[in-house]
Amino acid sequence: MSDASFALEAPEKPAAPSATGQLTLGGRKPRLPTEESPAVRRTLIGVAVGFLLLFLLAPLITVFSEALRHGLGAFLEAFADPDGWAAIRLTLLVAAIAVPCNLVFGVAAAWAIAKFEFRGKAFLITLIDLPFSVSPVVAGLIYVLLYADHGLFGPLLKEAHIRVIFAIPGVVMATIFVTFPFIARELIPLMEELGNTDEEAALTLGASPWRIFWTVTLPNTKWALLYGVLLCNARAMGEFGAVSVVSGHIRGLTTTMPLHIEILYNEYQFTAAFAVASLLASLALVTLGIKSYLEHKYAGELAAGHRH
Amino acid sequence: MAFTLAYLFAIVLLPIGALVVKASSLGFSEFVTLAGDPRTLAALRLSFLTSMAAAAFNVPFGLLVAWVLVRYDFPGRKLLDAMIDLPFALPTAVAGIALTALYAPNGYIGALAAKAGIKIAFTPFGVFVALVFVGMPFIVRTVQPVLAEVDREIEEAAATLGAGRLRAVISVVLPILVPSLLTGYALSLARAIGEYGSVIFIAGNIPYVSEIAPLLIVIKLEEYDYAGATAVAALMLAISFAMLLAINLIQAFARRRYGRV
Amino acid sequence: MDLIITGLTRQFGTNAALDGIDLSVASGELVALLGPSGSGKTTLLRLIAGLDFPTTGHLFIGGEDAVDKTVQERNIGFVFQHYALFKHLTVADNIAYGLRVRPRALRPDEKAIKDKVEELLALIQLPGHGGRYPSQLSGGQRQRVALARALAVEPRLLLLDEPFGALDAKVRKELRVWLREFHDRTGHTTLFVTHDQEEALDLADRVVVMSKGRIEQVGTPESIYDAPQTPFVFEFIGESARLPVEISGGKPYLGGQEVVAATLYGQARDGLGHLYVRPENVAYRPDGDGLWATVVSQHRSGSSRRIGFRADHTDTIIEAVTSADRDAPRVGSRAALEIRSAGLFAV
Repeated sequence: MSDASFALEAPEKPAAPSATGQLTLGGRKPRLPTEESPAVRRTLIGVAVGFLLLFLLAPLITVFSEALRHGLGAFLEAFADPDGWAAIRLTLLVAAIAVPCNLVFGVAAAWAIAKFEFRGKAFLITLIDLPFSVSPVVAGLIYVLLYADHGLFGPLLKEAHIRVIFAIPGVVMATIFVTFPFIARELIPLMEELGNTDEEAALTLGASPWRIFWTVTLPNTKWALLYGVLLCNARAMGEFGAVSVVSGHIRGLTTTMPLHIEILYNEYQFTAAFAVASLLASLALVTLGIKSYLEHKYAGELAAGHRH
Repeated sequence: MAFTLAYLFAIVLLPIGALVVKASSLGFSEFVTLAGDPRTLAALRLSFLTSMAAAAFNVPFGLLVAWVLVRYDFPGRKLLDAMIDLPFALPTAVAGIALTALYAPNGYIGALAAKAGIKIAFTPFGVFVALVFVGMPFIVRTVQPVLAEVDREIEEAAATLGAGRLRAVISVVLPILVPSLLTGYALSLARAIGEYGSVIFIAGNIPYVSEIAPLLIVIKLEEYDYAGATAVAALMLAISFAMLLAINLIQAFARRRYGRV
Repeated sequence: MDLIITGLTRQFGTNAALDGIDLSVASGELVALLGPSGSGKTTLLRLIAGLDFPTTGHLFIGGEDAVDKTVQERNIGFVFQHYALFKHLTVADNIAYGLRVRPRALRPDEKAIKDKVEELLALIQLPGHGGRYPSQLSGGQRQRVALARALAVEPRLLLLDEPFGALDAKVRKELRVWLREFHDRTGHTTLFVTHDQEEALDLADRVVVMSKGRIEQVGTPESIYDAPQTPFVFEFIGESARLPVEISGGKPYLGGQEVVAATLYGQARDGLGHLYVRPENVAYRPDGDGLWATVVSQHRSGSSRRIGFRADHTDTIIEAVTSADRDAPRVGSRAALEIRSAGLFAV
């Protein structure tokens, strides 16, 4: 019931508040039937905020306060450890392999699912989702079963002198497994929605498939893609359970940052553990920040119904 | 297309297949012996009970948080909304040591609880706290969009028919949210049962008391007991599939019942 | 029960969605609130229901000051534009809702509720549909269920917001006839909001025409159509030609010559003005006195024929409607127009 023309009309005949008596509802402020009373509202907000502070914010603050408990010097000292640097390097390496692999796969899978009709499509989507619903420990275990010395491919790998389990390839593969769905999940609904029309228009103009991909498909999906890469990267750097099972915890060689945190913590080097943890927590905060920004800015271009 | 299938095969199907092959090669009686081991049963029981309790705890609180975020405007609402995803984004190991530091007897909250005679860290209660942390966003994020789409007219309709505010919310809004609450519960539960990183630090990992099923897999692996680890994993995997199925059934039911009116 | 509204104003920020509304509705009347979107008609309906509160003003339901009562206390039946049925409840449970939420002391027993539901289902001609869910009903059926649900609580007033807005044309017409009969049978004091003039004129005992938060005219459908009191009502309801004229001594002049109308109404001070003429109030002859004009168009539309004239000393086209049997005048020929009834308003 808002019409711009009211603004022109209203001053002509202003309401006379005193003539009929300002509405008071017996001293109460009028409350709409779909609203709660201010007291109820304040209580609900208070409980919700309290709950979130206790369960969400308190752990986050703890990470930073524990890291800095013994001052900045102690915090920086934690990074003097060469094993710590090795863990950071390995984490970056793993993410640098896993994210591009899943990026290429995510785009290919979304393309295949959105553009073609084939039998077993639903099954394929379920498979893509699977790593989300498998415990990370189980994810690690299945790689052990495949590639460990007694595993399915164990003897084969031994002959070829390739180590997968308790070595970097295992860590990379386990990470790929757990971060596998992020990008594909973001792209599939979006590509299905975009449909074929834009691409068909480009085809009739004589563009090659590659050119269409680069000039039409990619620009249309770039924000969803970035969103997926962001989540994929956060998980790749932070994965613990799956990596823990396959890494063998060889210090300085197969320990990623989360595993390094575990080792430091179990050796009672709390400040050092929290110092490394604060790096990952910062990464998480940056991820959340960009994610919120993308959701806010490009809400329409991101697929609805995110599930992680 | 071929690439997609090949990649999927190598990364997902092959490993899962290996697990199934390994589990089935155990044979029924061996499987029962392994799965029936008291320590295994204790771990599974702990994982399930604490996960169900944490998910159940998260249902009312997640609903409350979703309600407050959707219906009210207050300073810091947007920030709070963004923070909901923290348990998704924060690496589990980081969450694990932070929760432990917080709830250990010398931590801020742990010390308070200790004064009241409650021990949180290194007990099943600690496991519960960690699982509340990891499971909370699932409920909030499944309920939030459904709540945002609830037509205010039905609340007004209830009011014109004489229903008080609380009555209207319970009898008219809540039923619409039930499918999403169930879905959120199932998602939260599925995640909690498999959760490892954020739990093992705070749990204390005392066999038969605070040892969770995923940890038992790790322990068995470290002892090169592949058969034992596989048996536990197969059980957990079966449960995960059952969860997925349940989620899909809930959603199908909701679509049928609440089809566009 | 009767309804009296005095000086009702509702401001949203600096905009007055409703601006000093005075209205009385007698017990058992069927009243239409008619206006374009943004006219404040839905706001008025919501204020009467207690779904929103006025900035100033009063309203009395059955002689009782209702302005500081909550929606629950007002006991009003409200049918929403999109019905707002509870999708998770069956039709029977939807209808019974208002009875079941009553405090225990006022709640009928289950048997009485069941009987009431059956009675209402019969009344809305949906017996045996109690076990269905709203999603299994057609649009018109949902509308009737919403009505039954509102009536179950025996409301003092029945308010309907665009009751036929979401239905297709055929169902709309059927339901309109049904609602009129239904009202005559049950006798509830009823207000309904519509933007469709045909619906309002067809159905209501009295029509309230609204524009920009104010009431333009209240009257029977006949008086609203035959004697619009404001330029807005003339332009909003029915068809009319608007002829720019000069007013002198209460009479319209075009090119210095008086335009004679058998019935002339409106409020006209001297100066520039507009003469509003409906097509069915224009007759033409090839000769004689009257407003001389040239035929510029003619076409047949069903059983009638419409002829367009350009009057001398103006560019405005005046239309006339005649029976299709009558021979059509040639385009370009001259004719004298006789105006039976017209509205005259100063600019």
